[in-house]
Amino acid sequence: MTFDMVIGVGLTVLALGAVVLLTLWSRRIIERIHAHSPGSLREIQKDIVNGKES
Amino acid sequence: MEKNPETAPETEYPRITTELSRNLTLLHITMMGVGMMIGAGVFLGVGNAVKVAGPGGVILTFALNAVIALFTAMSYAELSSAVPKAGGAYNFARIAFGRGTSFLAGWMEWFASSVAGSLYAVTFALYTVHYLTQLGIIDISGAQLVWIEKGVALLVAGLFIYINYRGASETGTLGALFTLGQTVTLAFIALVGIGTAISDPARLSNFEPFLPNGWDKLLITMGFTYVAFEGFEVIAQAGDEAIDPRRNLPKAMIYSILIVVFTYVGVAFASIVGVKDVGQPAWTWIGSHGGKGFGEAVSRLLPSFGNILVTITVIFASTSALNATIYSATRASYALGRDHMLPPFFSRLHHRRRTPHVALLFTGALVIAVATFLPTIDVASSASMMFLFLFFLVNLCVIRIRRNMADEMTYGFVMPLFPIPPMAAILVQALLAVWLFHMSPIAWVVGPLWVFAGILIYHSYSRHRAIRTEDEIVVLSDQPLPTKGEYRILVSVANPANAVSLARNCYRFCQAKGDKTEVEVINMVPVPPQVPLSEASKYAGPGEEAIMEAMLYLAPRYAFGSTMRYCRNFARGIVAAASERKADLLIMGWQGHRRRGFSMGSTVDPVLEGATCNVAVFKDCQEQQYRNVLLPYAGGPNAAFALEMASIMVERNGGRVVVFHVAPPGKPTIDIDAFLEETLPQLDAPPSLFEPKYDISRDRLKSLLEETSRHDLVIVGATRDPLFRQRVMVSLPQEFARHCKKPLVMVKAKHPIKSFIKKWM
Repeated sequence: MTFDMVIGVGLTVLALGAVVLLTLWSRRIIERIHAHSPGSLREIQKDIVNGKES
Repeated sequence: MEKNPETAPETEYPRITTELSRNLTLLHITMMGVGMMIGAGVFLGVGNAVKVAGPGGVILTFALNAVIALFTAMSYAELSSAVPKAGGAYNFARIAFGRGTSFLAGWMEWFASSVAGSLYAVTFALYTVHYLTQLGIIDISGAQLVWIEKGVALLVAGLFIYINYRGASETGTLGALFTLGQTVTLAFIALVGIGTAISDPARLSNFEPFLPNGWDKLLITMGFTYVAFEGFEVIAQAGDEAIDPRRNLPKAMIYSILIVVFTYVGVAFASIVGVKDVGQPAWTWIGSHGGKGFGEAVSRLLPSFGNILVTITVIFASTSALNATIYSATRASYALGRDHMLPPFFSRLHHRRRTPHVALLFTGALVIAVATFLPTIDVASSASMMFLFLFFLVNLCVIRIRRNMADEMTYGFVMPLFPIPPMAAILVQALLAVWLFHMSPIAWVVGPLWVFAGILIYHSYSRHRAIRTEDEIVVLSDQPLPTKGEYRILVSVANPANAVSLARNCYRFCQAKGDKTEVEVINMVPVPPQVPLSEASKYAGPGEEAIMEAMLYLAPRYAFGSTMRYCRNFARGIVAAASERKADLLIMGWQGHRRRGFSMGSTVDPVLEGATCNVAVFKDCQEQQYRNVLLPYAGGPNAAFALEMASIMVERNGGRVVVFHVAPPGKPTIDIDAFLEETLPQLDAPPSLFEPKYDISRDRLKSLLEETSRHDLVIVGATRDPLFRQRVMVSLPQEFARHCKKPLVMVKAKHPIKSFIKKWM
């Protein structure tokens, strides 16, 4: 395996991993917001922080 | 003269509002996005990308493009969850930046979708003619073959223009099934490729050299294949018909990117490993076929039926995407006509078919012109360039809306790691657009020409004709000061009583700053939410009186201006006015009430966060004289301005300012004398006026509140906590301000760098 291939495969895995991770993270945020109810950014941030602390 | 019912302005009767029935599930709208994305980009992109970047380059191209596309999809997702109605970038730009930018967004969207439509027509033609050639039905080569392909592209484009004219379109379950079929077919090809690589590992040597032409070629291939990730934004158009749109629209956008990236990477991999015994490296062989490279590779991977499989997949994918893009391109120009940004005939509906036939005609002309006159790679590059511009704008919109209007929106999704994703997307998209020049200089002529034409049209035609919208700041009356002087104060008054006390306090500040100080008074007219913008002037009475009171007090001595405005969100209107008028200080009142989610008030909090100048918020400051002023001190960037305010508000004869610091037990105290020594030389105030005082207490709030009983005015600096902390936790200054029973002034000094950034945004 050449150096380019190692870096290239690594980058590909990273990129695909990032897509999967961000998708799952976003889905979690959506469900969390809708568990309380959609609101302004301020309200959502407060709900998220209060949810983490409890 | 008889009125034309299609173009005459609507008479204002009470409306019975109707709503489209919501029957599109998460699956439907996800497949809508996937179907649009798999239209042509991957079929044309694999062969062309392999030629430029090599076997590893094509895989990397799709993987890296997916990350950038996902960042933009998250921006779309956030905005769509907050504005879940049809319109997409056109709506977002209108809310974020106003009519001019929204016109540009709609204008670019029109062109981008039309050019994408050309691309899908060309893809259909390429693969269909190629298949017929292989079957021996067509026996032509060279320039004549190119013309046949062009002819087929025009025919299929014309067919779908006609289908759109008739009003039939592929929606809902049928569309979802077609897209599912295409995706499953491509997934099958990918799996066969993976299976082939497992059973014959020697095929992996097709990936050597991984990047034969170098890493820099990636930027080129990412640029022209970016169109393969165009399509998720169409999901935003389904806002009126989707079930639970605030939840499902963002999910669909993000899921669609996830589905297509693995599909693209899988089929790109399968294409490379599928080729064997062609007498040259696999990648050069695939690349030599250009846009047909993918089809050729799959026919090698699946010798018996690969050809027909790809052709059928391309036929379904490209035609459904072509249908959808003609539909959405037409809708973009229709919306511009409806809002009077383009001539009204764009919004004309056919009297029988009820389709926007004029907008469709222009859209069709664009699709056909681009498909006819541009070579395939230039068509793909032009489409990519326009989408890069459009997505660049949407990423700007999400940042600006979060910054200015986050309290007005109801979000179903807020992206993680904000603002990294939109800023990264902006940077990379700008870079890709620039690098696209290497692939297609023509795209860099066509794209900017179109944008420039749009700017010309807006300034010469649309600007004065466009319909006003609910998100705008409306100026009801304006008597501005002609030029900016040495020091300008903007006073926000609500009613005559509030105006008098604020004017008195402003007068003190003017005296301290000198005769060259200028004062502008702003009143934000309170209009009930159900009342339309056109009625705002009916509610202006108290505001006019308030301005009059302030004028009587201040105008005899200082240059005076005024403005009355209306905006659904007062804070946004006040912050915008302060920036527009280049105010050095903004003075406003606060009654002391708090609303859910806010530390101090729904207007005060956003003003303190967003204003780009110094801010002073006055609570219960009706007195003319203050002899005992308390200044709680904890260091921080607002302390110097608080000291200045205290020196102005205190009665100089016999008055005093107590600078008071409370430290928790065991923590070091802050040196008040050092602070006074550093700051007082900049103020026109004798040091004898100021008195340091220290206290040690576990309950700092209680200690501060107890100290206020010995004073008649409190000056406190606003919190220096980062914005996020301010929003989720009540800070000590804010908590103290709410509980303090004495007259209070909360001040916030402008931060040079943050203010510059806010102003720019």
